[in-house]
Amino acid sequence: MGWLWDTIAVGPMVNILIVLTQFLFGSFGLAIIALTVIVNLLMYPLTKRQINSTRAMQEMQPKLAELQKKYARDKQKLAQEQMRLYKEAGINPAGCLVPMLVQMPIWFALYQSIIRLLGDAPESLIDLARFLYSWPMLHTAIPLGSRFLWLNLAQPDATLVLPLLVGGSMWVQQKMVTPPTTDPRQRQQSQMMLWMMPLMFGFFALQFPSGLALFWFVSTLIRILMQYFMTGWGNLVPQRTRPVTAGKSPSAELVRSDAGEVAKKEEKIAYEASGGKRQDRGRGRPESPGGTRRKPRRGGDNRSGRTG
Amino acid sequence: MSFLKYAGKRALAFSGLLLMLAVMAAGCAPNPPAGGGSAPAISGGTIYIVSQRGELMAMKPETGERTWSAALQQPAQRNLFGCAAAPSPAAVYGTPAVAGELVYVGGYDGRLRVYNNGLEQARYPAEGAAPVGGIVGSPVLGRGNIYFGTSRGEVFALEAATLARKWQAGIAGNGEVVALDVTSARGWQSDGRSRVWATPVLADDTIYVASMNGRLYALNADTGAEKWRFATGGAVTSPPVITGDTAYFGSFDRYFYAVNTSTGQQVWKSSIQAIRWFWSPPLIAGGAVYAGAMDGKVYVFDAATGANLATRDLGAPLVVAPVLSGDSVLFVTETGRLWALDAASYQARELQAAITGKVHAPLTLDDTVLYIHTREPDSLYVVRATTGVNILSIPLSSR
Repeated sequence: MGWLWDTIAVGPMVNILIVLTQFLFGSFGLAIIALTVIVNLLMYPLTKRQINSTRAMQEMQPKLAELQKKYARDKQKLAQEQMRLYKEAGINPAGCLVPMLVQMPIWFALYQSIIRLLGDAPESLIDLARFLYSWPMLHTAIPLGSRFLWLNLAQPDATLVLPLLVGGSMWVQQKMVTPPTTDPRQRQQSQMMLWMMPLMFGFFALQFPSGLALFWFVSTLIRILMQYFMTGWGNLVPQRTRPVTAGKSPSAELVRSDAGEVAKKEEKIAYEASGGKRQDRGRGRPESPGGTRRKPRRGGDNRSGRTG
Repeated sequence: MSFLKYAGKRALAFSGLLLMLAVMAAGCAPNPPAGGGSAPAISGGTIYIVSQRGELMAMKPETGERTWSAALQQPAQRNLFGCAAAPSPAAVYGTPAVAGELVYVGGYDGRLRVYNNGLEQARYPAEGAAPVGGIVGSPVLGRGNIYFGTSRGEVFALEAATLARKWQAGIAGNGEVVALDVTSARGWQSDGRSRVWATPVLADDTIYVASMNGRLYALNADTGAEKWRFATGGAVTSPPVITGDTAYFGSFDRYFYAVNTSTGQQVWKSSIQAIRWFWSPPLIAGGAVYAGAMDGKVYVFDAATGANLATRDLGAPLVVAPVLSGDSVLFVTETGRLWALDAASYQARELQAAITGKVHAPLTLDDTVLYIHTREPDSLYVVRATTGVNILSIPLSSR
């Protein structure tokens, strides 16, 4: 099994990385960046599907919460209603998991190939030999140069810059995808996820070779970009509400609000007012080309009751 | 259902968690720390060997009974938060160099240690000083000095008695050899391709150093000044074997070379190319060069012309140099299979040695007894060279 995995997954990636290094001025750092970008582009359709499914699931949460309240004592009915809701909205509940599961082996292979190429002990190099194809350029390229910018790619970054970049970028990405919620339990979980992943990977970046940390950082940056172009900044940029109540002082005109809470309440009201039709919250997303996406409500449109 | 509901909400975060867990489960964390595995040195009726746990042992060859041992520990390093991790064993790949009661051991932690009857007597660099690059090849004694190369492309000549530095050279990214003094040595950095993993070879007043930048260097053994350099197309990890005025060695470009030691000019280059790297040094016997490659094949070349006399497939990578026992050239594959090549007919026959584990450490032959240090398990096999019969197997790390 291990042999099969090495042959069909890790081996090709190892060889591609070496070829890229040769073409990119002998820089293994540039090769890591290039392959990460290429793999992300190839997996774009899957990523897009995953992000769309995730968004759709997020937007359905208020309705699901309603159902849970409504059928708290009838689990069977709850399940039926949930399935009906999914069906009506055209959502497959597993839609965000399937692309993720398909992508997972590819990420493992990329991760393992970088690890293998960064090994700087003799046994690591001996082990690497079995992955190389017979192309001459592959054999003469080893060992790869380990210097990239200020980094020794085979060693952790002692300057802390890369671990901070890894942790910081992960926080941004996590923040973008964390849905606003009024449920204290869910909010607590969201907060935990928001901080746990960046801290964990930031800590890993302190311990692992910086070539790997570079891979994490570039991957996260690409995910942030994809996320931005598909759904906007999400929950990263707090919404601002503009109260229009007459007689208020100008200084109180622009007040930061809890965007998530406002949006949640808005949606709930809109949901009730529309007799159950789904409203788009439009949390900071760019408008779709067709102009069908609604802008977030501001100021006088704010029916949440919060005026600052 | 509830799983799906929550998974939808946090799929991206969840994917990160899964990735981490799978990475842990699959054991694909960064390459494990260097394991080492030195070849045994035999001197004065004693075997000196370093286990994979960094324990230097002196033992009796007949029984494997230990007379003394010493743990090579790399000092605890403080992390960012000021906490010191526990000291870890230093990996040793090279064969210890022995001079009387003194045993010199080069560690992958960048320290050369000298032991006398199990007690550390001296160390270079001194206690508390920053280590040099990781030492992979064996340290070599000669001309009153001890020579060794490092993974940072440094070459050292220290006074053997005091470990005072005689000279230090560094191989720069452009292939130049640079003399390093105390100040310039402090800021020395390697590009990762200039590593000197091959054991330096001392012949008269010249020390030959192979680098992973693909070059073989001849340096003045007393000053470190460069005499000549010879470039191949790939990294060189095998020390050259010097016979007469010719140096023989293989390269990662999968060609084998013979170079004139006086001029640094190529005498010949093999006409055939191996499928994988030449990792280990060859053996020269009876006018023939026996070179094992990582494609599992033994290439026999005419020492004078480089003509390919024979090629034999031994079925598994060859990463250690062969040894000559009588009329047979003995090869051990990475998987522990022992082969004897007839020096006259070049026919190969497998000896039925019961060896388990990977063989990366050089072989040591003492008369008709062959010593093989394996990894996984960390053991020393003592084998009759003529028959392959196992005389003794000594577990090293579990003792």
